[in-house]
Amino acid sequence: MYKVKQWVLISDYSMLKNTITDEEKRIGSHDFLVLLLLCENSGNIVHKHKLLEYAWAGKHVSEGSVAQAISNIRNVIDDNGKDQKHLKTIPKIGYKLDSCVVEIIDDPTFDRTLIEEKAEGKILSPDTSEQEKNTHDASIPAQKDMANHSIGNKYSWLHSWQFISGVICLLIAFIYPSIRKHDINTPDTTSIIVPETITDSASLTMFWDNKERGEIVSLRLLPYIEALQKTHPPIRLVIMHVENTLSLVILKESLKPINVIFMLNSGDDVELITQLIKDEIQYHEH
Amino acid sequence: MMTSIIVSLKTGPKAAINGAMFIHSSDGSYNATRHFEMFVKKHTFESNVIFTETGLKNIIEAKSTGEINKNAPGQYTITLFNETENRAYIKDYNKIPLYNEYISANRKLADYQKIQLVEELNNDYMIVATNGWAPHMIAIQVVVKE
Repeated sequence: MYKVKQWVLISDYSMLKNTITDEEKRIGSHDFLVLLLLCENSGNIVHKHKLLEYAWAGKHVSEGSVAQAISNIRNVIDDNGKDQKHLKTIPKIGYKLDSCVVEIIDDPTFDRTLIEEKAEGKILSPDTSEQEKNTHDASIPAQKDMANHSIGNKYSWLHSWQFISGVICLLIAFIYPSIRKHDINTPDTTSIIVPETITDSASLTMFWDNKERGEIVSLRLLPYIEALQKTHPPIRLVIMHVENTLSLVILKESLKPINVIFMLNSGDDVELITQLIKDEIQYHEH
Repeated sequence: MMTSIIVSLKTGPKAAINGAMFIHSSDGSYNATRHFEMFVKKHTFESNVIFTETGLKNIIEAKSTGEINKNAPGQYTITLFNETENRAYIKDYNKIPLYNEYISANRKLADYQKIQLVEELNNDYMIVATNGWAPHMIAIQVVVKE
């Protein structure tokens, strides 16, 4: 890890950290890569094309991008294009960073851990930071372990929507079959279409969804049908009334049954329904 | 048509079923007729239905294949596999309940159509009730092929 003047380059975060004030500056990833290459070749001239290839690998950008990155870097390290104290422009060739301002830091773990702690919201004051620094040296392995297995990283998968939706799907997969099994074993009462029996005699069978109205119709029809039996071949009537539909099955000996269905209006009264049935019987009497 | 499917389970693996019904409105403004023939083998069926009603200019002929499922004693449901019908020429959209029921999406749902056995008659006839454009009851004839 490199240190340019008081700024340490933290490559994992494209960030510069001031070792004196603990100030952190985030710079663009391209700018960071340019600075990194200049640090690696400090004291030597780095060609513009090399910078372009390194910082903008696979992309086609103009040399102006390099110039802009250099300008940004100069701002950070208190330099400028006019003075060129540390970062010098070599006209038409490239740039050179003075080796006197570049240091190589041997132990980067400390800085990395601090940054991670800050990222977790554990902001330290300069005093406590120093204290932490001192204690840190004695427990580098523990710090490393903390950095690698911090709570946020370790359990971040628990908060991912993929994990939650997966758990929900598993729950449904286990619970749904048991619910369905229960449904299948329960008798399906919704398929019952035929309502209550009102009358069940030799000449008339009636199923009616409104018992009161059904009984009135039955009382009016029975004498009529019984009278018919005396003068005509035996006739039997099966009637079903559900909602606004009246179904008649007229059964006569040795003849095909006759199916007649009436679609009633909601205002049709008992008298009209009785008359409809009588008319239909009369129509099919012979 | 659908009501007669139930009979196949009573009569054995091969049966021919037929029936006819006349449908009227109480005020006499609507009339319809429906005839059907059906051939049942094990739990599957093929049927031919012919019907016409006041709001149609022509006769509709529909061919269907499907499956019968037994839910409880005397209660069955059917599932359609495939159905084709000829083109309808409509003269009154308010008076085509049979055709509307025939082309409805609900009817294509599995186990949507329900059938209930009401009574077994003499001479190969049975009375069954079914849902459809409306709950209704009809007598059907069953001819069993040996």
